[in-house]
Amino acid sequence: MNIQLIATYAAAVLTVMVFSYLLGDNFLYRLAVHLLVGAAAGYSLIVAVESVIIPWVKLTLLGGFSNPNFVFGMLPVLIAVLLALKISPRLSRFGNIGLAFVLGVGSAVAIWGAVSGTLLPLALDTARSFTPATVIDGFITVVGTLSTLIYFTYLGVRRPSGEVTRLLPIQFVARIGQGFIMVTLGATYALVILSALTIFTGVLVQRLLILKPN
Amino acid sequence: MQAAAAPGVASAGAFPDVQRQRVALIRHILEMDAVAPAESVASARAASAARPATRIKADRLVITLLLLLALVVPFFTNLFNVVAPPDASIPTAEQTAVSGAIDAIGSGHVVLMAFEYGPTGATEMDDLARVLLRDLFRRGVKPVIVSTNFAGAMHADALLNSFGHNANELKAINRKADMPLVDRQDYVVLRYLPSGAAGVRSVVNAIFFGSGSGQSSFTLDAQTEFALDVEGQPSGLNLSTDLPILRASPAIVLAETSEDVRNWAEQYRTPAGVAPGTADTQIVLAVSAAAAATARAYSSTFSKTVIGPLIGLRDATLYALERQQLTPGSALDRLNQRWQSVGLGALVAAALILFGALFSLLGSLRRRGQSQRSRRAQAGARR
Repeated sequence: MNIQLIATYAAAVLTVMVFSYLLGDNFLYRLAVHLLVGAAAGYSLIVAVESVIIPWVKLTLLGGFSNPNFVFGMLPVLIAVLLALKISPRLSRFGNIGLAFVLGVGSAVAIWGAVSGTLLPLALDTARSFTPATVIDGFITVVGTLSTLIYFTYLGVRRPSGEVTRLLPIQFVARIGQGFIMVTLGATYALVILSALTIFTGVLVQRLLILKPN
Repeated sequence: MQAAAAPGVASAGAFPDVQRQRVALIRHILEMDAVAPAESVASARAASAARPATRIKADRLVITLLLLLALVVPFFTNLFNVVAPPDASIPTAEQTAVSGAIDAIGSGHVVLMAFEYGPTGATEMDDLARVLLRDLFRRGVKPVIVSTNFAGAMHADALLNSFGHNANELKAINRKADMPLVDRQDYVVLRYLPSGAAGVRSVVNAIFFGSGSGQSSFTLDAQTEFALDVEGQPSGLNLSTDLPILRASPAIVLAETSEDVRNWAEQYRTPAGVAPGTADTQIVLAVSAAAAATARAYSSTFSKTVIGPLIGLRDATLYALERQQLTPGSALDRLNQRWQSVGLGALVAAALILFGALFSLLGSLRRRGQSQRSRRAQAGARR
C-alpha cells in the first residue's frame, strides 16, 4: 500500500471524525481537532526554522564580518534579542524598542498600501463612476458609499431632555446606509456559503466518494 | 444616621438592585478564586464528572442531513440537476482577459505564481490552479511559485508533484507520459514568504531592484526570496536574467480570502523610483467565491493592471472548456456533477435560510402577542 493511498484513507477517516461534531461534541471530533492543531503548530515551527531562519543565517551571518550581508543579517537578531527581553519584568522596557520596530514597519507597509492601493483609487473610482453613460450604476455607487460612511458617523445633538440623538436628515441617510450594509453582508455571506459548498463537494469527491466508480 | 459617601463615589443605596446583584456575583467569583488550589481542582473534577452527556440537537441534525442529501444526490442521478451546465460558447470578458494575458507570456519565460491558500481551501482552489498550470505548461512557461501562507508552499509542491506525474495531465499539456514534470527544471516552488503584506513588498523590491550587481538590501531580498526553494535546495533561477522577465510578466495570484487579494493588489505595484516608461506590474487574479467581491472591486478600479478575476469552480470549468483542456469524459462529467451539487446545495441552503427567517419571524410575532396580552391582563388586574 503506497503512502498516497494511506493519506487518502487517513483524510477520509479524519473528515468523518470532524463531521461527527454534527451529532454533538465527542471524543473523535476532539481527537481530529487536536491532531490538526498539533500538526499545524509543528509544521509552522519547522517551516519557520528551515525556510526562514536557517537560510537567513547561512546567507548573512556565516562568515562573520567577512560576509558582506553581515550587518543586514544582524538586524533581525538584534530585534529578536530585544523582544526576548520582554520576558523579564525588569528589562521589558527594552523589549518595547523591538516591538515598536516590528509594529512600525508592519503598519507603515500596510497603511501605505491601503492608502495608495485601496482608499484613494476606490474613492476616485466612486467619484468617476457617476457619468452620463452609467447614471444608474453611478448613482447607486455614490449613494451607497456616502450613506454607508454617514452610518458610521457618530455625531449627535443633545436634546433638552439630555438625550443625545442624531439629526433627522442624518438618521434618514444612515438608514439607507444600513440597508446597503445589510445587502453587502448578505451577499458576502452568500458567497462564503457558495465557497464552503464548493469545498465540501471537493471533499466528497476526493475523500468520501473514492469508492464510487466514475 | 447614614455616613456621608466619599466625594465622587455613590453611596451603596444609590445602586439599583440589578447592579447590587452584579456586585454580589463578582464578589462570589473572586471568593471562588481565593479557594485553595487542591479544593478548586477537586471541585472542577466533580463538576466535570457531573457534566451531562451532550444532547443531539435535532434541528441541526435535520438541516445537516438535508444539505448533505442535496450535495450527494447529483453524484448519483441527473434527476435533480437544477442549474444550467456551464456554457463555454461565449467566453466572459474576464476569461478573455486572462487567456490573453497568459498568451502574451513568451515561451520559455518564467512567471510568478502565488499560491495563497492552504489545504483547507484546496478543493475549491486546486481546480483553478490546474487550469492555469495547464495553460502555462502548454506554452512552455516555467511557474515560479511563492506563498505567504505557511502551508501554501507545501501544498503547491504536493499539487505540482501529483500534477506532473499524472498521465492525463501530462497528455493535457501535450507531454509524453514518460516525461514527468521535474522540480526546479519545469517549475520552482520557492520557500515560504513570511510577513504577509511586507513579504509581498519585498518580492516586488527584489524583482525590480534585486538583479543589480552591487550589494544592497534589495539584492539581499532577491537572494533571500529567490535563491532557495521550499526544500532548501538552490532554486536554479538566474537572478540577473529571470528577475527582469518576472518584471515584465503578470503575476498569477490564486487567492482564497479577501485579505490575500488585498495584499497582492495593494503591494504588488511598481515601486517608487523605477525609471519612467517602465510598464506597470500586472496581476492575474483567480479567487474563491468568498473573495469574489473584493477581487471584482480591484479589477474594475485597476482594469489595466488587475486582470480577471476567475472565480471558483464555475470559472475553472468554463476556462478549461474554452481552452480545450478537457475532453468529454469522466473528468468533465465529474466537474459537471460538482457544479450541479453546488447548485442544488445552494438552493437548499437558501430555502433553509428563508424558512429559518420565516420561522423566527413567526416566533417573535407570537412572543410579542403573548407579552402584549400579559401586559393588558396586568393592567386590567390593577384597575
